[in-house]
Amino acid sequence: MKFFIEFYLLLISSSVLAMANEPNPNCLGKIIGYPLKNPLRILSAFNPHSHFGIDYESNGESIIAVEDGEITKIGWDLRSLANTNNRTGLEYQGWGRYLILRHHNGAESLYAHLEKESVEQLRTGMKVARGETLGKSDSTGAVTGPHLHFEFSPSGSVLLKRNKRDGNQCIERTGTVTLESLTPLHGGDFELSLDGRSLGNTGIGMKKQFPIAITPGRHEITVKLLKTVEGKRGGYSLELSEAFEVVDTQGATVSVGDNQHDLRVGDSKTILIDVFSNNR
Amino acid sequence: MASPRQPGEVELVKYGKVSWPISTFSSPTEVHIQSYSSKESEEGFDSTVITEGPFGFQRAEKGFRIITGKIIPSEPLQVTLFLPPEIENQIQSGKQLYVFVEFLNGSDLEVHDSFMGVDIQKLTKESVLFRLDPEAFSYERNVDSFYEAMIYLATAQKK
Repeated sequence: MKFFIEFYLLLISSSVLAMANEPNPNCLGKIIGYPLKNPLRILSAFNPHSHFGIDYESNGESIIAVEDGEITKIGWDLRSLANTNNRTGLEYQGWGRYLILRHHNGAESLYAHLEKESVEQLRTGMKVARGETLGKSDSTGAVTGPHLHFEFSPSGSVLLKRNKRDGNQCIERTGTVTLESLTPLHGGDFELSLDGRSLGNTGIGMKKQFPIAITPGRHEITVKLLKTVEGKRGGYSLELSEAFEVVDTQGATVSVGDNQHDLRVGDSKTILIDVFSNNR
Repeated sequence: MASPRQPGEVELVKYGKVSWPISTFSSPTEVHIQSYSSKESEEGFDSTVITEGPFGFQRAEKGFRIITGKIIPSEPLQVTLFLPPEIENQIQSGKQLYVFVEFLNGSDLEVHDSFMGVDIQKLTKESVLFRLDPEAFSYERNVDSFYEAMIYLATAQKK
């Protein structure tokens, strides 16, 4: 019976997405979902002086709400310039069809260059849920090609310059960490922690996959041997999905999946992982 | 005439003034401040700022334009604007003041020239003081290719 209860609890813990304790301080704790249905690929990054959003590759894909909220603006912006813009060669400028959402947590987000007709079903004041489709990406406004221009403010109006932040750093990436106890008969029970927070343990001689969702940047994954049958050493292997890159403590990259170690009871081993900011 | 070797100030009586530190301009240039509004600037504000709804921003009838000729400032300018009567009335009725400045916001893939709220350094009953960053200046907004910054005062309900 005890075995079944323990197994049941493990199943519950592994089905819940674990999140890192310390997200990027620029995000002010506002962790958001993807603004696009497709994988994120940055064409042009945020710049606090000249580009107050991120340009993501997208051509006709669905634009989705990054958090629960309300539509506060369905805008249209396309105006002529008196002089040709040097960088793009364009003689006009503007966001084209764009949306602004005010989120329940105080953040705001802006999505520009959308397909004009794709947002016709939307109205200002309408409530939207995280992950809900808002419209489709396109090339309306002053652009050289289709993409999504996305702006994010974690702290109030996205129209105020001081509020605009690199929203890409606030988007959580999902993946898995698989931890396996290597010697079934005399294997150990290993605990997995992410940034100091326990995600659960494997159970003696078992393999378990932990789904995680974390923001781009460097994070710590720690494996600790809790116990073995013989009370001595236990071996394990650790595997990370492609969204994460493993680095050693000096910052050098090591290959994913090449992490077989053994530990004494009570000892732990920490590795650092880099979460890609440019794609899944 | 603004000189690279000394600080300077230009005043538009009853409307406002703009001042700058030494070395702001790389060569001598004329600096102007104008009480100004055009169909283009009004359209620019109205199409890039939330103007409707309970928390919409309501702009002053006229804006301000600061022109620095063919030279872009390399340092922030200090701008003081006197509040027009309609803005004073709005503030007295409990609304909050905002200063919106037009900024070029773009990449190699796009051009946005949108209005953004900037920080207010000092607000009195009659005037507002704020910093105007060099990024606010663009030569793409007029046929003379003069660098200009466009500013609107606006109010909105306090949140």
